Amino acid sequence: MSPRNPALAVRNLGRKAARRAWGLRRPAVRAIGRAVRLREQLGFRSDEFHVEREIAAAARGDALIVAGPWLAEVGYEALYWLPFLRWFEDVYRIPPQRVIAISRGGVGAWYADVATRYIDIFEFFTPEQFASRNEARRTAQEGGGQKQSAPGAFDDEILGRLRERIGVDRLNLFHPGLMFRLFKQFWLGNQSQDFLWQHMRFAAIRPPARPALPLPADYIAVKFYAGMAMPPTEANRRAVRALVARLARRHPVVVLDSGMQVDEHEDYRFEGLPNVVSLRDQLPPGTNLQVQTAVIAGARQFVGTCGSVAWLAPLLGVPTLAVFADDQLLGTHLSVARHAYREAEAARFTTFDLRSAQALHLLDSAGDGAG
Amino acid sequence: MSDRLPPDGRGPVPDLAMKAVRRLLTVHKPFVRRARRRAREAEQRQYRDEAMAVDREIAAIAAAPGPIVVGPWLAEVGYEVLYWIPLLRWLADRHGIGPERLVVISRGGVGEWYADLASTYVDILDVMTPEELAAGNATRQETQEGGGQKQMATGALDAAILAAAAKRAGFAVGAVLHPSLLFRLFRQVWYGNLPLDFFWTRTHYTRVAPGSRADLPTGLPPEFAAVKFYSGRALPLTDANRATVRALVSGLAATMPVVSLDADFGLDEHRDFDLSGIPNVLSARAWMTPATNLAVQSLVIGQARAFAGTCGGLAWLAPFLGVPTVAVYEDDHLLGTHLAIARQAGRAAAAAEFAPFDIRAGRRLGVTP
Repeated sequence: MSPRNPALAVRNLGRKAARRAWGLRRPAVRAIGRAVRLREQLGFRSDEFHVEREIAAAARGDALIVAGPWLAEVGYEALYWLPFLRWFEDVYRIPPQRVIAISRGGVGAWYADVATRYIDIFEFFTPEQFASRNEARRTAQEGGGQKQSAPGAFDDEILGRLRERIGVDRLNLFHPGLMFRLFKQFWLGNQSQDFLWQHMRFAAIRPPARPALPLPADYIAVKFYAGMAMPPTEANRRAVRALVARLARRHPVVVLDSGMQVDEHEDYRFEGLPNVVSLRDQLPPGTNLQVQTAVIAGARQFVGTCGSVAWLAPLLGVPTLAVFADDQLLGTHLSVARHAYREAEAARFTTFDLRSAQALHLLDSAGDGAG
Repeated sequence: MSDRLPPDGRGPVPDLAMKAVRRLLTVHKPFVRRARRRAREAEQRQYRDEAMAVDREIAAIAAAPGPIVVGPWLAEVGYEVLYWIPLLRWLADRHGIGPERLVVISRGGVGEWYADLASTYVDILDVMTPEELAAGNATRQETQEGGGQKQMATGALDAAILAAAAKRAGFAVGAVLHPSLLFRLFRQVWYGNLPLDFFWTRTHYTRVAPGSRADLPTGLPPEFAAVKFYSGRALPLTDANRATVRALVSGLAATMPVVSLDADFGLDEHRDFDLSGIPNVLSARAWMTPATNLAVQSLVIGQARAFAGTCGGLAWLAPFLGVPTVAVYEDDHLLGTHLAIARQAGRAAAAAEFAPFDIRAGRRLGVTP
């Protein structure tokens, strides 16, 4: 600064003071940000506290407890709901005799260690009715999503039918909404993994008996369906077909395409590939998950879209290869799955990112049946 | 309840007594649950308090007048690019610290990684030899870190480097933002005891300028894939993995020239896989010295059409240089959280594609040996 230019000096000092004054807002902005964040965190903790109280209330007394009805995705049921239910029974000393599990597709075997009674929703509704009622529920209650934040009209109707069926009016409800609300902040990144581990008990699932189907003696079970993890693009179709063709060269492949459209996940199909058989016409809608479970349990390996029964297969003791082309929504679930399978001493679980195979030109060779 | 006796002839009294006994035996359970919950909450509070204390230490360093020395970075490349630099970027942004205040100390010529953050960069290999650094680091890891590579505290090596760097670059050592702050701040996030949100609110991810081809030696093919396969926990140096890596690189080299970033200068415990003799594969080793090895490697990656390598180290950086990356591993035991963070950070920064490749899956599908 030149002493010969007082105007410049005044201007510079003025600017400096303005900069300082402007900088003063920073601690205030930081403090406000911290306060907002703190209030948000307190809100999350308060929500969790209320859910924990509702869970305790569901355990109270000696009335039968209905665990369900499960209306959401298979993957959440296998990876989160069953371990959560196991935790609930462990912590509150609930004997399985007090619990009636209610789900769909004949998945009673999944609940064998947590509920002595299993009621299937398809006993009350046809698969078509279930699909349309569930769709209406999702639109009305979940903004189109598949989760179950709270019991709604469809749940009430199922529970009403259940009461009629078992002839008991007084029931405690352990609804999936409790789980979705309790773990929501974990999935959003606002709660720690440790919180999740504190509310889950991972265990293997006893594999059901081999189904009465004409299956090869030794086979690989395969289930590829379209979804966020595996968009139904032409490139993905070709890549998946090439993979299945490769697998079929080494062992017979049994494809678990149900042909059902109870949600938006459409199965990939593999017609024309040698050594590949489809169970399309042999999966009755009412028991399709039961049969798929049994077929997977009898397989030497399971290969399929990362999601749904791919989360279940390791717990059945079957080495699993979960394939995806987009992992945007998978990161958290993959971390949970890896931990869960270690805890449950489940079979190997590995992932295969189609993009890496394409980048490394691993599926380029001729004769992959990709055409 | 019926007036008649049940078939076993027992009256209602034994049943009621049993029920009462069962109830009595469970009376303590709510208290045990509450005690456990309280203990867990106390533990969680402690984790959070520790992390918040580090937060305050960082804020105090930022608030101090004068230059801030950042480093010296002595730990893994992966932690530097995936965590340290994004933390510094957040810090500079959050506390309004200009590049003129930051003096970064690292190694391998990585000044460009910090170019938008610091106006001064001092390379450790300018103040000590690679052998001295390797030996000093090995001693530090053994005496301070229980054999690990992290930097949980400052030690004699840090002090020696700081003094030598200050002398060389002519700055006074005042406030030091030591990497131990990073490891202490995020340790409980990596362990799963603090939510990821704690991490996301303290990091800032952006794309990194890939550098200029003009800065590279001549002889680089006009279009190529860069590869860097080194051994470590994620990819052990077994015969099977050697065969698989060679097959992957051969397959890639059949489609375009491959530049291998093998740079075994013995600065850490990672050894590079041998890719010699594979047609269409060129080694970049001759272009590097210990003092420039990371700079050259990131420059080469920045000019590549694709990058493939061990999941770790520069594989975390490549997507942020805009280069589609395949990160290869055989053991994901320690990778879960880092993979999840890398994916989300990449999306936040609109980085290039990052696709992990599990060699075990490739073998089971019969696409790799």
